Amino acid sequence: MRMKKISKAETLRLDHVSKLYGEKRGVRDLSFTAKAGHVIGILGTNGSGKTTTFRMLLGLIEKNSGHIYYGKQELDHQDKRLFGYLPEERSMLRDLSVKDQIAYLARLKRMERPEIEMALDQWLAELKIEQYRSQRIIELSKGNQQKVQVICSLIHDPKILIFDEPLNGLDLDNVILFKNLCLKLKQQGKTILISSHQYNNIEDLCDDVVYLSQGDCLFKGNLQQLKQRSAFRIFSLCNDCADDFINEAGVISVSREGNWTTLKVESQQAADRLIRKCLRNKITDFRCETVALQDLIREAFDVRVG
Amino acid sequence: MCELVKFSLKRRFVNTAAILLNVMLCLVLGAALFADKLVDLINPQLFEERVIYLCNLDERIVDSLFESEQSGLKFIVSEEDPKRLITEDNRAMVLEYQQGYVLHTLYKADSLLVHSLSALLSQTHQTLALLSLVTSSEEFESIMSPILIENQVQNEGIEVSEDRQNLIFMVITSIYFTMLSFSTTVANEVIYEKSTKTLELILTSVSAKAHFLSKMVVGWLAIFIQMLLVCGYLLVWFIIRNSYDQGNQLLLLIEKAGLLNNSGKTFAELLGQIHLEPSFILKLLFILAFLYTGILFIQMILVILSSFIANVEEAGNIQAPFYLILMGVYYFALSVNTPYQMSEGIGFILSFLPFFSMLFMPCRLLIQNVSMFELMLSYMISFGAIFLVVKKGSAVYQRGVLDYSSKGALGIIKGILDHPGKEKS
Repeated sequence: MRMKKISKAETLRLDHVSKLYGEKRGVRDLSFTAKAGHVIGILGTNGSGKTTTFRMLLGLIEKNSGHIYYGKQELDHQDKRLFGYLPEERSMLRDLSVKDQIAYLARLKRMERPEIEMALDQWLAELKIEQYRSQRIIELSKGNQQKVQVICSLIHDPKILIFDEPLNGLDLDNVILFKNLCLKLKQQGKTILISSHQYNNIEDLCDDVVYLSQGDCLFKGNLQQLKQRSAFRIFSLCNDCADDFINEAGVISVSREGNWTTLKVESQQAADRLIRKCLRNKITDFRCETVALQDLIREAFDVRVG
Repeated sequence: MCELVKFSLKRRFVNTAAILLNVMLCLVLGAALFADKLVDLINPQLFEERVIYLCNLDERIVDSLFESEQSGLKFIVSEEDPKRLITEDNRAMVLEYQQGYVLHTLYKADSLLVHSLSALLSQTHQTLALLSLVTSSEEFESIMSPILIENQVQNEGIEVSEDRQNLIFMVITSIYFTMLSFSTTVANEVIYEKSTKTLELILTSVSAKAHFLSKMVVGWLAIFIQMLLVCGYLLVWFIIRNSYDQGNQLLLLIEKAGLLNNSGKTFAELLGQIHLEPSFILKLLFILAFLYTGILFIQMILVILSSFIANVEEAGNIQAPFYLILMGVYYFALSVNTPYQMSEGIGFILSFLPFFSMLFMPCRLLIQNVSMFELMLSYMISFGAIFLVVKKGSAVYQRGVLDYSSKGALGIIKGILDHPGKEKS
């Protein structure tokens, strides 16, 4: 895969965009910027406006107000190859073969046959499904169907990728495969907008996040900025050693899962004290991390997520 | 759009079910053109004359029955025992006079045949009674000769032979019913693409207007291709049959079955009787043009309605009433197919309205001379309606295909009327 020089002209910018379907549904006054080579996590509960945002970007629905820019120009959707879209649900004609399904959507993106053949071989190999090339979609597992959809969204080499719940139906191996793919695409300078209910899975992919709730943008910005809003730290160690730590100053809550005990600590200073105690007691098997994205959002916006 | 049309047509015609159906259609058409051979093979007696033995009947009655020349019936005078006659030939019937008329059959006789025999005998008895009352043959002739009424018409219709009119109506009916099923197919295609969420993905590559128009073109072309295929199969079988016996035996069977009157003895003679002169062909082309414009209009309406349907189960709610309306229009067109209605009645008015004109204008063309101005006016109105539906319909379609909420018929109408101009087309 070749590395691409990232240009400022390839920045996607939403400027006070609104689309309302009534009083509550839709998106209100949404603004954010997605630079080339960046992954933006679009987060929110069901009905928060994620799909509406994606549909506006794709030109499927007309916005009520605001502007969407790509570079310096307002987006006019004339370039059908600009976007690659992976919808939330399986959007395929299931009686078609893998090859026919991908080729059909690629031809609609105005790709020529030799170009399609070349890209198809490359992507089938990349996602490790080349053996299913002639098999019908209906005969594939959910995970492999999702991989075919991923290829459909990538085959025409779009500059902006919209992945709506891309991890649905993928097992752990394929989640890792997909994450690695995203990182590769990011390195190639693609702009990636990604939504997922599994925040912890996309946390390490996202440079920025946009958090939507009932059509309003509650937070946008760097993930670290969001994390800085919370002083809490998560300290984990094995159950055998945990009893000496649960009564330490600064420990807010304790939870146990399997062989591990997780302590929620009120500040970085309190966490540092626990680390020093571990080292004094020659305990090396411990972890100290910031609060997971899912918990951060729950904490910051007082909503149920995940 | 071209890609969408190619893909849809390929999916429709190049699949096992479609190929199998076309093979079956070809075989059925072949069977129809060799129907006489099939009848000979399966039931050779089907169109043979039924023999009626006449026993113990008055001589004058027998003469009268022989003179009546009933088609499909053959009278034979016999003095044998009726029971023995019907046992020997189980299709035979014996008409015997005891104290009244008795019809002996092995199985229960067809009631229509019994009624026609009864009417024939009544008429014969009345004639004989009349003959005994009148004094001269002139007097009898004047009583018996039918009273004719001469119809003096101011606005002459066109003279179309009965065979030709039947043939054209057969064409109209078959196209109309093909069109009904094909319109539903296009609508179902939209529902399938919508329910599998493929449509959302397609619309990121092509505009809703292009997709909407592609469905129209696909529906229209599909009918056209299917018609061409049927014509091709017919032509092949026709050539085979013509080289076999010029269709002689088949036409004989058709005549026996009463499907065509005074048909020729060969295909060449039959075609000669139809008189395929240029004006007739032009008329046929106009009829086809009106039918195809109608198809386009119906498909557009049905596709727009279907865009609001979220699943296949809901489709019946919209398509069934639509189908019934189209059937109703067909039977209504048949019921008002009179020279008066088509010249200045309801048929005349409907022949100018879009959707109705596809049936009413061909009906008018069949029974009267229609001026070129009227034809063009009706055609322009139809095209105007199609243009309007394309212009407004694609915006409504785009909103419909992205709306996955469950709707009843009223919800769909509300969806169509709800700010139709606001969405991007």
